[in-house]
This record gives sequence, C-alpha cells and structure tokens, in this order.
Amino acid sequence: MVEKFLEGKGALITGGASGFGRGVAEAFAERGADLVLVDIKTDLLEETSSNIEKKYGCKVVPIECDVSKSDQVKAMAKRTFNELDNIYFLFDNAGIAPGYRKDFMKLEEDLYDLTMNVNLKGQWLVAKEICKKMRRQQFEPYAGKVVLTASMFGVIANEKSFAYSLSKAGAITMAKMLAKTLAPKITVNSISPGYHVTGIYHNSLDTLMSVHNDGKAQTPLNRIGDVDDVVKVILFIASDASNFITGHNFVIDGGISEVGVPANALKVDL
Amino acid sequence: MSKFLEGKGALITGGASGFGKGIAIEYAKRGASLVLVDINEDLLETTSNQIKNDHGVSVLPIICDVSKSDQVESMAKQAFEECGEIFVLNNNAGVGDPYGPDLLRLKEKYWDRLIDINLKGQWLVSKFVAKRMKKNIFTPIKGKIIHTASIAGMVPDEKICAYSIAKAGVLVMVKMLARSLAPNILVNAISPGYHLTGIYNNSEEAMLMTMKDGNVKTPLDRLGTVDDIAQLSVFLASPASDFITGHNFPVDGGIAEIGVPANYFKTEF
Repeated sequence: MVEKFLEGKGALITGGASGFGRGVAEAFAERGADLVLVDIKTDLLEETSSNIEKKYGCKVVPIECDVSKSDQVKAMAKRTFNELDNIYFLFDNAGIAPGYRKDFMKLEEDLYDLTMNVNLKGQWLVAKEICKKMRRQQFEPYAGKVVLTASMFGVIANEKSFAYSLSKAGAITMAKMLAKTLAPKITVNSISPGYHVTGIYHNSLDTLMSVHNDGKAQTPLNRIGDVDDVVKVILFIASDASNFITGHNFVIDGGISEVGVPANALKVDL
Repeated sequence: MSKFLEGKGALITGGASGFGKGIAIEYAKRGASLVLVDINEDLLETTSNQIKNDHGVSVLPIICDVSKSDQVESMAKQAFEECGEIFVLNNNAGVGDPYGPDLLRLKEKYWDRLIDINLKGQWLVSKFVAKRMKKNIFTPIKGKIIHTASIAGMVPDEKICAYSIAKAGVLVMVKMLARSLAPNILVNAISPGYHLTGIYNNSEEAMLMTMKDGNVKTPLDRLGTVDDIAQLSVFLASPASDFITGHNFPVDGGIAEIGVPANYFKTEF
C-alpha cells in the first residue's frame, strides 16, 4: 500500500500518453492525484487516460495539444483549470527526437525548427501558462512543483542528435531560470534520463541499442534504464523529501554522462 | 514506513551529531543495523544509546580518527565482523574551521588538518569499507556509498579556502569511485548548503553571520535543516535511486545552482 501523499492535488503531464509521462501518471494516480494528460497523439491519449481512470478511480482529463503552438497551450491551460481546481505538479515532459544521425552540417532547417519548437519552446509555453496560476495556489510550503524533462544529451552533447541535444541543454538552463523566478513559491528541477526504452526510441529496444552502440556508450551500471527508474525520481521530487532542492538537474543514466567514458574518447587513435 | 534497510548494515562517519545523527535516525526507522563512527567519545555514546532505545535497532559505536589509516582499517574490520554486511556507507565526517583566513593567510597546520580529515579521511573510509562491501551477498546492488560534500565545493568560499578545496576534491573523488566500483556499488555525493549543525557549533547566530558575511541569498528563503539532508540520504539508500551513480545532489535551497554568487556583490560598477 503506497502513501497517498498527492490526494487533493492535481498533476499536469505533457507527453502523458506514453513513456515517462504515462509511467509518472500511473504512479501519481496510485498516490491519489487527479490528472490532466496532454499529448498530441489522440488515440493513445484516450486509451491511456481511460485505462488510468478505470484502474485508479481518479479524475483523468485528456487534452490534445501541440505544445509548440501558443494558442493551443493557452486553451489547454484554461481548460485544465476549469476541470481541476489546482495543479500542484507540472511534469513538462513532451518531446521529440527526429533526424537522428544528422549532424549540424546535414540537419535540415525544418527538422531543427520542429525539434526546437516542440522541445524547447513547448516546455517554455507550458511552464508559462501553468505557472501563472500555480504560483497563486495556497498549498504550503510550496504552491507547486515543476519538473522539466531534459536529457543526458543536454549534459554530454551528442553530435548525431544535434537539435535534440541543444534543446535539452536549453531545458536544463530553463529549469534554473524558472527556479529563480518562481522561488520561494515553486520549486523547479530538471531530470536528465539516459537510455530508457520510450517513444523517443519508438518503444524499440533494437532502435535504442543501435543509438547506444553507435555512440559507443558505456553505461557504468551496465544495464539499460527503464521507465520506472525515472518515475521513482519524480516521486521523490514530488514528495516533501526534496523540499530544499530547486534548480537542480537530476541525472538518471546509470553513470554515463558523469562517470562514463565520453563517446569520443574511444574514437581517438593512440 | 517501508523497512527496506532491514537485515542491512549502515555505517555513518560523523554519526554522533549533525547530519550523521539525523541520517542514522532515519535509517533506524527503516530497520537498518547501525555502525556509528565518530571521534567525540561522549557524544557518540549518548547518540548510540538514544537511537538504540528509541528505535530498537542494533547500534555499534566505534571511536575513530578517520584521517589515520590504521584506525580506519580496524574500524572497517570491526564494523563488518560485528554488524554484518554494510549496505550503506555515509562518508560524512568532517570539520569546518577556521573561518576567515584566505589562502594567503591560512596557517599550514590548519590546511593539513582540514585536508587530512575532510579529503583523505573520506578516501580512507571508502577504501577500507568498499573492499569489504564488494564481497556483500546483496544483489544486484551490493552497496551504496554517499559522500557528504558541500556547496563550497561547487561555489568556493575564500573564507573557508581549505574546506572548499577539500569538498571540491570530494566531488571528483565520488565520480572516480563511482567508475571504479560500477556496476555493483553506487557512489553519489550530497552537497548541503547552510544547515544548523556542529560545523557552526550548533549556533544559528554563527551560521547567519557566515551567510551575511558572504552575502548569501537562499532562493527558497529559509535555512536548511538536518532533515533536508536525511531525507535525501534515505532516497539514495533506497531502490528509488538504483540507476543513479556519480551524481552530486546539492540540497541548499538553490544557492549553488541558481543563487547569485557571493562575489557578485563585491564588484564595483
């Protein structure tokens, strides 16, 4: 039996239909939260929302939204606060990774724009519209908490995921600036997952391993990450146990980016 | 509360007071058998008895100067022999004085004492404990090591210069240990900010004076507590952090990563 520490609290999760978003949605529902799940994939969103609603008996509001479009994000935020009386936790998580293996010379401008608009601008727009209301909530000691999904590629740049790496480095910096702007009312942190099987890799271990091996990645903890590795950290951040932590980037990658051998070290001929 | 440390040993240096004591109490609540290591004999005995009585767990107190390798080696031996397999090590003992003299004015004896205890001491403890931890039967993770660093290792404070250098060293040490001990032992660092502990002689006044002196602004607008650190330590000792190694967790209300650095205020425009 888990402690229902999110009872009476609302959580908004972008990219909530699958991957980390869905994992966090389930864990939050189990702990008593009501949910708004935001995604661009309508069918998957409906399916995930109704499954969670049935399984946990909480309120789940699915909202279809392209997070890169400010009018859609504004409408999404408006509907959110009509449906739920608070959003205590924002998991600003939606993201895409198109154009793998195109370095900065080869990457087409439209793919660059798409990645930056969805990942970076999208996270900004969502945080902006939700935090406007969140900061006025009456919870103590914090009106709310925000987590942005970054990536270890924002820490150790991957030249084959050029725009993605840039957008995620931006997310880490954005979290710090939001943390400063919203202190002391709201804590803002980022997470940087490593290799975990999610929609970013088309839910395919083969695809993930091809990227992993392509970059000659060495994971010190010697295994691939799963969704649960990330969910557990989000639960920690959502709980009171993390109450003195803000502006931090939580790296969850089995040690790759901070203690692993950098990929390019292996390419040097000695 | 989940007793996920039941049947597991936890060794905490600097365990008689401050963060060490707070961490020990939280681990005891989760069923751990404790080894508390400290140099302050009286305080160590009081704390050990208190935790034993309040929480009904076994507590083994060991007096040890962590800067002396022979003492550390025999401490580790005694801990594993009498407590059983140590699953969590909080490498936490440290000293903080003197406050004030910069690198040009610091006396050599203070440099030596601080680097010996805070840096060499953490290395010796990890070395002798990890040697035995590697043979633990726990699977897939044999053990977890948590070093107490400091935000002074991230944003150096010239008034505690040797301390800042020792803690920066701890942050690098953690990454190297994480690499050497992967994939079976995880190693991470905690970097506290301003929390009321023995480092400030448990005086809030002394701590506030230090903060004022350094023009420190805490974004979350409150002082840290021992519990802020103990709760993170529980997370790092638990399965919730099983895919994290080599990482540094500042617990400082945002000072080091989003606060205005102290020296910003000293610039004349």
